[in-house]
Amino acid sequence: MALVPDPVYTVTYTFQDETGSKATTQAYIRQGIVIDDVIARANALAGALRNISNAQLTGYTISRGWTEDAPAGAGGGSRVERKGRTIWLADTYKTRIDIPSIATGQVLPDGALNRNSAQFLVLRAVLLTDFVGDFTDSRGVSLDALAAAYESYVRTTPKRQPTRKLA
Amino acid sequence: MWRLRVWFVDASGTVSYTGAWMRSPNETAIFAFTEALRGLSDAQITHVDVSRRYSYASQVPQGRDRGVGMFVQPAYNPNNPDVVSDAFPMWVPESDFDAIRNLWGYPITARGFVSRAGYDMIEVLPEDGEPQSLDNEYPDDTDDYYLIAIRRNFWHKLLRDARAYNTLSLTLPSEQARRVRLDIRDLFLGVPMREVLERLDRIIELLENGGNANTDEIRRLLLQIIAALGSS
Repeated sequence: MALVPDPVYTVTYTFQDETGSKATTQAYIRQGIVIDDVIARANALAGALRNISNAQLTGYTISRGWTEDAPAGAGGGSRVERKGRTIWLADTYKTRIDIPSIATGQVLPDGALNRNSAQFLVLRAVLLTDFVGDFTDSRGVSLDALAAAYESYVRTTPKRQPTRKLA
Repeated sequence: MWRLRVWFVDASGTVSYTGAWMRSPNETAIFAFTEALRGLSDAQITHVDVSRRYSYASQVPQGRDRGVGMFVQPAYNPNNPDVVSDAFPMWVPESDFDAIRNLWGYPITARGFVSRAGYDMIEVLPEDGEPQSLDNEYPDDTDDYYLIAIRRNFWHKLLRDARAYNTLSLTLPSEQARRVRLDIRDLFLGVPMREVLERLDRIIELLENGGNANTDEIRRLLLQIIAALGSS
């Protein structure tokens, strides 16, 4: 059971014509090169595409993925609507990271998450100390403290329901 | 900022993801974050992705009469370089054949870009492995990577984009064009496609006559097709 990287970075270019209609096209860059090179190549191709199209090139998205090669299967009774909601501080601003189907053993009787469990301490270390500067809020400010951690419930969105409807 | 998403599926098959913001797509940090979540959740992690959008200052849109330029570049597995293993297809909206040919003439070579499966595109050589546009160039009969590319990448677009469909029907060699149309027929089960296809064939035939095309007859046949599709 491991995350296997996709062989490529995908670069999705977005165009808009004078009617306002949008279109996308994609190009692929091999994995294994430094991210600055990937960005440089994507940007260079954007310049070339801009030159050969009469549409406006509004931007591009670089993405990369990993797929679980041998998923063991979800635990019995697991429900992604049951979240472990964690609120983190980034220089007094708050940012949220939800954990789908939080394990019941992580929830204390009062509904708070057990901040002292071995598993939670691992998450805390990853976000705050092991990779300082890597994890941020949406503004790019590093996470620096945990503000809250509790169990929460959300509704199932139609797009995420299983195609195989349960009886 | 880079947006990291970790996707889960629970016992019912319902999917969900959680996200975090990152300053860079540091793989070690991504894996550590994913493993930490694995320890806290009893759902199954299925995949992970990270992405970042860059805005681009480009010209204002100019016109809408150039159609869709498209090329398909064969790609090779370095371990088996004599066999076309994949294809690198690309649409460029509001472009055309001459312009898209110049894409690879720009100071970017095929090197550095690969097919979706990660295979090398052949180095562009004059008259050999050169990017070809489906706008107005006929690929060789043996170039089945065209079909690979079409099926893998453009099917949903073909179904929605009559312009692209016409481009394909008019430019593919007859055998491959027939296979494309058969696939479309399969996808449109329930629609009287035989009738539609017969008329499309007739239209293509008329258009292939160039300046001799009878536009009145083409218009009549197109109206019949529209009526047939509308009544199904």
